[in-house]
Amino acid sequence: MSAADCRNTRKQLDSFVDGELSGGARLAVTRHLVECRTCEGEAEALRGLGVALRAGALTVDTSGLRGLADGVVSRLVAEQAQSWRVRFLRAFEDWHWVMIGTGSVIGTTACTLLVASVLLFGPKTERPDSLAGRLNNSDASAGTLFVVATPVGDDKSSIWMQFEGAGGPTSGANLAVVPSAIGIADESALTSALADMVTRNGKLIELSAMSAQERLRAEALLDDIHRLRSADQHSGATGPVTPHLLWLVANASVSAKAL
Amino acid sequence: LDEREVSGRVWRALDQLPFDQRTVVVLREIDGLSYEEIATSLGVAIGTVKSRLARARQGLRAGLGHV
Repeated sequence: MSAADCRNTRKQLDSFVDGELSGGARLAVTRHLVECRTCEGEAEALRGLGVALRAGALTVDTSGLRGLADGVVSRLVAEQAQSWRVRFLRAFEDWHWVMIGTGSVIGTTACTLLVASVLLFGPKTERPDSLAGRLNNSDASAGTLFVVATPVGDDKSSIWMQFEGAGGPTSGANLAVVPSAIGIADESALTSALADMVTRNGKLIELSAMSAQERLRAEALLDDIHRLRSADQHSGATGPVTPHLLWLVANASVSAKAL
Repeated sequence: LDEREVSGRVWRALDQLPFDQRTVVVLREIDGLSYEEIATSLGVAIGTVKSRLARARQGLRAGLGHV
């Protein structure tokens, strides 16, 4: 213990008495006070001042100090309200609509990507006998006319006819071979005549635009085609048919008209 | 001197201190604020609080004399 130790201890004595020293500094002062009676007396004097002030606060008129603590607390609250953390949270508090909008955009984008990936990479569910399936599987060129007709009273036995261009040849995998025993030239002649009736300048016309006579002729041609196919395939369905749809394949797009 | 008389002298000595020193003593001893809280509330550095508090305590002891 030296005079230098006492000087160092005296410098820290107020903080020590107030409990503001921590760790090694507090331990060093504590050890010094155990050995030095003078410094220990200084510490006791400081503690005594505090005790006397607090005791006097109960008996002495302290009206001059009234409101001081409230002012301090208000100042503390104000300082805390201006802290960086509070400012940060307050700044983002005003951004909640921006966050909601950003979240909506992200959600919409994610859903769009999901749907697009399903459409692009998902399994193809079209049936081979569906219209899309038959069009996709056919090697029909642009301008090909498809006629779908259904026998009256039998929706399941639809007739699917294909005309390569307006009045063109009707050869194709899904056209029946016409037996020569029937006596009619061939299906190609019938379908060419039908194509001439349902198209005008290469475009489809509606049945409503036809005259009654033309419509009867078209249905008669369809009946003949149906009979030829039925005779070839021995299906036995030889009744009259009703045209339902005309499909024109043009540049990979499909346009439909109800007859 | 009894305890009450000592307290009276201490408070009279307190009244003689400059306002800034009196303030830190009251905030520390009566209200029990820490150095950091006092510094924040008064808008000064902690070192300033320490020095004011040390000078205030010296002033109080000087005012008390031999008591």
